[in-house]
Amino acid sequence: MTTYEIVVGIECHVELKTKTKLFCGCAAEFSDDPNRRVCPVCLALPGALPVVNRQAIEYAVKAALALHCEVQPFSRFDRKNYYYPDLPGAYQITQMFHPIAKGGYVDIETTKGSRRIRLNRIHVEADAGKLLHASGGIGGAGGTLADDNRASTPLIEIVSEPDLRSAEEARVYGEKLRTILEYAGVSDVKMEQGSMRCDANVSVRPKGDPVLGTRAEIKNVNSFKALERAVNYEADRQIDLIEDGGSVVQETRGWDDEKGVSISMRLKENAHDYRYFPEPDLPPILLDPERIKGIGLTLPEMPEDRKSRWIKELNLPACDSEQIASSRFSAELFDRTVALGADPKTAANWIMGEWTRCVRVKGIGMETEPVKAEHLAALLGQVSAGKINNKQAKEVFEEMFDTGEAPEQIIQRKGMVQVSDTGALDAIVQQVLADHPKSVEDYRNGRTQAIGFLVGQVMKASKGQANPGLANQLLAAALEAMK
Amino acid sequence: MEFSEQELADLEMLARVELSESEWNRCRQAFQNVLDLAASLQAVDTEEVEPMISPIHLMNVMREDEIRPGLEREEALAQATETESGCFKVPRIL
Ligand SMILES: [Zn+2]
Repeated sequence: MTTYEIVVGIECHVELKTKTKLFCGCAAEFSDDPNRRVCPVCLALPGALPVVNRQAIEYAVKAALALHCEVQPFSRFDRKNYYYPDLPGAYQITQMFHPIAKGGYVDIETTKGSRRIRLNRIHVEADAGKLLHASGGIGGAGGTLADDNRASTPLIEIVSEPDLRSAEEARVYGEKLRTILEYAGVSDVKMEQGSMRCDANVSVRPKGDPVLGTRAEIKNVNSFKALERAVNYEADRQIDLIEDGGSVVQETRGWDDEKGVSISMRLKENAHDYRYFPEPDLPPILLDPERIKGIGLTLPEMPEDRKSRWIKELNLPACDSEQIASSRFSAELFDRTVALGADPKTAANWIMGEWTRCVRVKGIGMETEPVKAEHLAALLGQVSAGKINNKQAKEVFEEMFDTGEAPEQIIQRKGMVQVSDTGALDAIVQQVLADHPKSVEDYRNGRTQAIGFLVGQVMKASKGQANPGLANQLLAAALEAMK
Repeated sequence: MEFSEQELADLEMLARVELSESEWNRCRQAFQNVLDLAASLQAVDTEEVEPMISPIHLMNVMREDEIRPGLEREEALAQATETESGCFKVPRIL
């Protein structure tokens, strides 16, 4: 039986987070009120002239530098011609012949080890509008509605080489790309909201065959998990086809994540003659090395660098470093908390634990900085000083997360104190022993784990304020004395 | 180089137009003339000449990332053949 190898290349469209569109002063921000962010330029009305957004070019350069690309000293825009109602001018302004950056790479780590995925290019282009279903009307068969709020918002397209060899690699590549772009601060990079969109070119070939198989392009993938599933599905579909004596057709397929299948979206054969030609309305972009260098200096410390620094200088475990570095927001929170004197491993545990849990459960964007480093550091300080115990700290943390208040204030407001006074605790311990003769009996019969239950009762009786270590110690002493 | 019937048919489809018989013949002749003219230019030696995209030698014309007022929706949709829910309405495509 033939063993097949999966070959995947990914084209990723990323919305740049500029205030305005790529070629006009309309707001680029999302709006669900149709056609409120339009002007003669983005509607491609005759005579309107595009002028490129300086910030979009700087973001594109920044992304390119973060991805180790060679930024081109000369780049230019071209027209890609095709008819579709989401494209007001019947052409898209993109960069076919002279993209802003070439080359570059993304290092990924999977269960199979680490690999370097080469990039082919990055180009800047204008997004299309949005199409919606109409209720009825033209032709009696509904109709299509065009909203041009998104038309001409700035995108970069990051094109990888066909270097990915599995569905897992495709997912990890996408995730890594998102992390790097988030660090670069050029985009919101949200797959679910469409600010990052990945299309996968998938083909299969007998293992060892140097020739690439015919590929299919998979679109409409809106999460990294979906990307992994879609690639697996497509590879299986192609292998089945070949095994049954058929052959793969070059086509575009749309992924339906709910059904777990892709559907052919093939258009007429010659519909893809895009008749590219240089955009006459936009002068070329020249970037001198000094300017490129200056943009590079605005990049923060990148995930790989942070990871190795934490492992080397803070002795943080590699898997913790990986997880915290995977988002710029957790990485910065960690670095600042540690800089304020917190123990690195403890700070890491809190960020991977409570912080991540609260972000997920409450659906709060990490970028809104729901917990300040000063507050997290202060909270950890309260715990290490024995002022409150871990359980109380979790309660304070959640309150901090919700209100943005400082931990000292919350502790004071809630009247939280950790009872570490032996006399006060002793009374509670005696009461708990008197109330639970069964557990005392169990302990005396050798079931020493009964002490766990009793510690719980002491914590409860003290309204969570007892120092659990001390409670354990006092209970053990009292029980021994009763033997 | 001859401009074929098929090439004209492809262009007709790409441009979303439908040519009548007389238009067809006229267009075919016109395209043939353009190709002939281009063919005569092929004789010129352009070895050392950079392609010229525009006669105006501007570079780096950029604008700052500042919001400027655009069109009111009513103005934007004023030329549309049909509208619905604040959108341009076109024959069904989805
Ligand atoms: Zn506009």
